[in-house]
Amino acid sequence: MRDNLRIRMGWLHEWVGFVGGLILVITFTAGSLALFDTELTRWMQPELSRYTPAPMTDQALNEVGTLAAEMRSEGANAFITLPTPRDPIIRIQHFDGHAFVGSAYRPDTAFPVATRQTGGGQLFFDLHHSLYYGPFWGNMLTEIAAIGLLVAVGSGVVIHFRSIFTDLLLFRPFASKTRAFMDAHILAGILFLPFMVMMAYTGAVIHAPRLFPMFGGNHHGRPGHERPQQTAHSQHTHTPRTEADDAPAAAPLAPMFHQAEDVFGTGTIGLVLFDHGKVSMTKADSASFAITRDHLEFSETDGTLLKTVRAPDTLHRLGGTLRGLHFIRWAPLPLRWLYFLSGLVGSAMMSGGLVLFLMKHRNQKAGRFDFRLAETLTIAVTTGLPLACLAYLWANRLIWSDIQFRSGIEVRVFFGVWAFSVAHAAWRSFSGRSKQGWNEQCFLFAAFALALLPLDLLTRSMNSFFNGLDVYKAVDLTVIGLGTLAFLIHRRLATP
Amino acid sequence: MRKSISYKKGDSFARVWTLRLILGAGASYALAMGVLSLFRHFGSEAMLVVGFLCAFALMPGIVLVLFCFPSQRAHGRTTGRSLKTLAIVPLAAILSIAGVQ
Repeated sequence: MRDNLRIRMGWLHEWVGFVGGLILVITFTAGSLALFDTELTRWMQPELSRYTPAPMTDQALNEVGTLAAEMRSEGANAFITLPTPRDPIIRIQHFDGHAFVGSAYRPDTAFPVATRQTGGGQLFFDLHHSLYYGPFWGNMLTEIAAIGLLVAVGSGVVIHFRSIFTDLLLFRPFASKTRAFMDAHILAGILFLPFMVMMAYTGAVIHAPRLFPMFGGNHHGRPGHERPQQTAHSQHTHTPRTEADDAPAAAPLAPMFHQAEDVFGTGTIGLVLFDHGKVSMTKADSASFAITRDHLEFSETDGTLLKTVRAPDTLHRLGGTLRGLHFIRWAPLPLRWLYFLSGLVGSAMMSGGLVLFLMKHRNQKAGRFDFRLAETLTIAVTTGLPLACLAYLWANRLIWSDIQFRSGIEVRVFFGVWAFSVAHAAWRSFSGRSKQGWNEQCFLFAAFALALLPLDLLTRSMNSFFNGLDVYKAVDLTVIGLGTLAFLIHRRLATP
Repeated sequence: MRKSISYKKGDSFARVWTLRLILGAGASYALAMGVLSLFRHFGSEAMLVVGFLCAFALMPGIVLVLFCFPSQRAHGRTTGRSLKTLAIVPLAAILSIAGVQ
């Protein structure tokens, strides 16, 4: 073996890419799905398919405010999300340790909509940023993996620097499997390099205090020195409750809402948060490019304006801009789809890299335990994870809608199927038939994905079936597309 | 079975590179902490976000720079001494943090 720059970088790319890739495939797949977390939550609440959007009335807001205050007096850390074009309904939510769950209300009458209890798309959000492993260790692992991605991208660029333009034009899908995988890996890597670097970099900076706990604090560009407590994607905090917290709100919310709209603009208020006798009318994340959580604070008892909180300067806005770039809550639907496709391509590119790693080492190390373990883990993240995601959707429609701890059962089905796929992968890999393991999981995914549309049609109201493309059909068709792709891969794997 | 010279050499390279990766990761973390301390000391809490941006650009950069150096000297021995020298980097960073604080 010679020792030159390309070989050293190749070794670095190979090992950092493989170890980090096992986590990054999960992060990218879950992140892509989390882009449509609101839409997935709506798909997973089929009762909402009968609901027709209506504008929010003051009376409805006040009534929902009273309900939220009652819940808070019973000890729930409730807050209100206001209707948006993506989710045109009022929700009272609380954090259950992993997801924001709660009840839905019609924005015109405050009449409750009986929806099933589900974590919805937020499972993928949690999986994306902390691997469902808690805010400390889970976040830290994804942080380290993000740095690993930056190292792998850097080393990959050095390896292919001489032929970077020819690689852009080179894709031989019908050449040998190694060649085809390598071409696809390089092509996707080069084309989506800016996206992947941007996502890894902004993602790492957003959660930086997890990796550097000694430097935690007000780094996100959020105004004030305290972290918001019940915001849509922040962590659960255990602040001591006071009597002021527990007292039902005396002041109606509608005047506060209108006052906040006068300051921040019509249609910009997305969250109503309650904290220590104060009500915060907070700007929706989708209201501007930078997520700054500007808000107006009111007294909960008499509704007087206490203060207006905005990001004071450019430095404070910088953190919000990074969040805006990463989460793209401000973006129109086409851009969201572009992010989704880029994320999936990134995930496929990394999966290709994992497969290439195994191909390279198979000849020399095929019989070794560590190689079999690596193969098992690769199968588990490349085909097992999509299978688990699909099982989550199936479980949502098949489990009784009024069963207790329903959202927890759905999550257990998700992890149960994933564990099953790991066991299946280990069985196939350690018995020397790993290709069959991949093949069977691909086939299973294809079969259940193609059957999702009939399941959807059978388990929800068909009133709006001919009303054009809605969120239900969009999810069904996307899953059918992915299922078709899995079937094609299955056919390709089946050929000798 | 006898292993070829190339195989054994490959093994030795892998050991050196693994050590380099581990030390590089440690060094980059310590240096990032140094950078963040500087930002907090000379700037404000709000400046930390710029510090994080610099730290996350620096960390992969350091690992890549470390892998730019050859692991073999002219007469063929792996550079164990240069790896030991590398351990000075985190020490310097820790001293700089201590100095700043």
